[in-house]
Amino acid sequence: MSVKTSDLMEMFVFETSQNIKQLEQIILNTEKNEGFSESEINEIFRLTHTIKGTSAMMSYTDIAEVAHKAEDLFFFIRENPGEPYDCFRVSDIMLNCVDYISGVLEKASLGEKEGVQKNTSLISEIEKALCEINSPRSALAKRGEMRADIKAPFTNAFRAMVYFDEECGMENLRAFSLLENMEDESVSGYSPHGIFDDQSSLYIRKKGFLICFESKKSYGELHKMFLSQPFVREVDLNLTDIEKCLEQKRERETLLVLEGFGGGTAKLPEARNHSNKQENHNTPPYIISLNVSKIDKLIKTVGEIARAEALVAENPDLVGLELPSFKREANKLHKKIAEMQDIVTSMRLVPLAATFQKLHRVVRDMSKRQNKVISLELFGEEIELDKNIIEQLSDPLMHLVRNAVDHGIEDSEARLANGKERRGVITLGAYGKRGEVNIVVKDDGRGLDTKKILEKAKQNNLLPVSESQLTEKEIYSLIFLPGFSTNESITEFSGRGVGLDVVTQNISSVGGTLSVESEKNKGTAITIKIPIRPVK
Amino acid sequence: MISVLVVDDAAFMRLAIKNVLEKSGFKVIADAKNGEEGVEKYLEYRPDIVTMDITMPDMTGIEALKKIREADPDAKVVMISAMGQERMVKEAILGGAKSFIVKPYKEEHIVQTLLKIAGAK
Repeated sequence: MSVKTSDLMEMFVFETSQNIKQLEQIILNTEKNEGFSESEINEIFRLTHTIKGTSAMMSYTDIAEVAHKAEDLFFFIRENPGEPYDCFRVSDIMLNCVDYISGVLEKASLGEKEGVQKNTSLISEIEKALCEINSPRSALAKRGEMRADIKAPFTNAFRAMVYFDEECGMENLRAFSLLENMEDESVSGYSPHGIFDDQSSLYIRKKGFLICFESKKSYGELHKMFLSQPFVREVDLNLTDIEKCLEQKRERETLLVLEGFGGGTAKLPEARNHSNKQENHNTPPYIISLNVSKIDKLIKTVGEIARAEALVAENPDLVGLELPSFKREANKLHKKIAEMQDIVTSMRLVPLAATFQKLHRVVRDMSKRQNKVISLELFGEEIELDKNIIEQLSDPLMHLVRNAVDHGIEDSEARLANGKERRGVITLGAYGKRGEVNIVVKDDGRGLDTKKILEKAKQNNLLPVSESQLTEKEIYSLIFLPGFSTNESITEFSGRGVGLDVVTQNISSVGGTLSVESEKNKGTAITIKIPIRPVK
Repeated sequence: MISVLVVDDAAFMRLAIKNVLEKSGFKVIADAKNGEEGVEKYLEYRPDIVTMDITMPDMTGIEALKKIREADPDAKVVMISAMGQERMVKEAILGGAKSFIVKPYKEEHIVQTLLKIAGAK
């Protein structure tokens, strides 16, 4: 069975996009905490490493190169804890990488490979940052040999099981000598660890000596290198993921970095049993990704089965017949089919989390540009909606959040002058209520200005009745009317280029409604009510 | 032809090693009966490879190894060790020994090791 290139491509774009999103999420998180935690650094390193690997395989060398540089940067940060660096600068760079890679992926998903600009400025930016952190007094420079290939082309991770000649004697020291001779490679770990122990000699003789290392040499060169070592009888060399090696390193303390030599705490390593202990909560093993069209086909077929079942159970031919056992079984079938319909429909439900979370970046970038301090707070991300609805919601939410940043939240001085905290808060949340979901976008900004809204509505002939008859709430709702906001960005509440009526359109296309509440100087809240299932 | 300097305090061992090597196409260009002489001969003959006994009177093999490596960082020295000398072997490896052979050795061990060492850059 061969895999079609297009399938592979689809998988690549999908997976890399996921990784990129995850990467962005982590970076945004670290900004809030103003620093990278150890696990975040490891995770970023892992992600960039994966992206590098897969994109190189799909010959997206530009992505691979950027990812590789980013990996180098985080390799350095990881290996040199305590080395000072500007974490905001690093996260800026990483977000640029994220943007660049998503751009290329977007083109890739449209089948375009041409026109991808090699991003030399980005690469040199990363290199520069790395150079700056990696000042001469840095630990890496002192150690020198630790990773001489930091600027080198691709480094791969390998796992070598080395077997020595029988009767060669002192196998443990053969292993030690071998490690000493691997000066061009960066050894991340080996096993058994206690190689100055008689027992380990016996162990190596019988089971071999395991080395995990990184090298920029080719497989063939390395294989030859091992066999050129005295008394090496055989080597079982494999390309591995560096994560796997690191995992082993973490799991069993038998693997130590080279400098850890000499400790006499030798133990024979237990049989390796890192049985799929998936600590990685981001890709739970029980989730698979499916093409939506398959689910839709399934939904359709299940619907047809339900109709067919009705036709059978209530077939006119059966009228007047006493069929107690048939009816009992038909009833069971009916229930099962109904159950199946529920399950199938729920397969299209997707949590709001992804849609919500991507707005973190929007808020971050916009507030940085406008010199505002704003945090986005989320709740109810776990609430699920039909995939179609989620897709329809994405743009309106983006629009509303942008509006809140642009026009809702005041700049820092104005806020302080009004006795508010410097930091503005935008809340984006969802909660369920009797078969519908409410999504609210709230800011603690200046609130809507009824006077301005009325003025604008009058200008555009949008007042249905005289203004004295309108309640405050009705006045606020005027902003959703088509034609209320124009393409010019002049009113209190016009977005960037498109008016709020686009929001109204999208929301009503999925059967939803909008409502506004606002209080001067306290803020504005816009609530979207939507049915849980799409309207057909 | 690969040239070898054999350093060992036992005349028997020098001869034994020499026999094995010359049988296999190596050229033993000199031998030495202690560390000091070993260093002198190394500087004089510049052989491709040195076989160095670890335990010798006056200057031990390890000291000689270090002296040779000091004078020529590319020097290829293979230690000849007896069983139970793990600690010294470790020291020799750290001192830059390319490999080691444990006595009692098989002839092919010496030949193969020296061939591999000579072949490695």
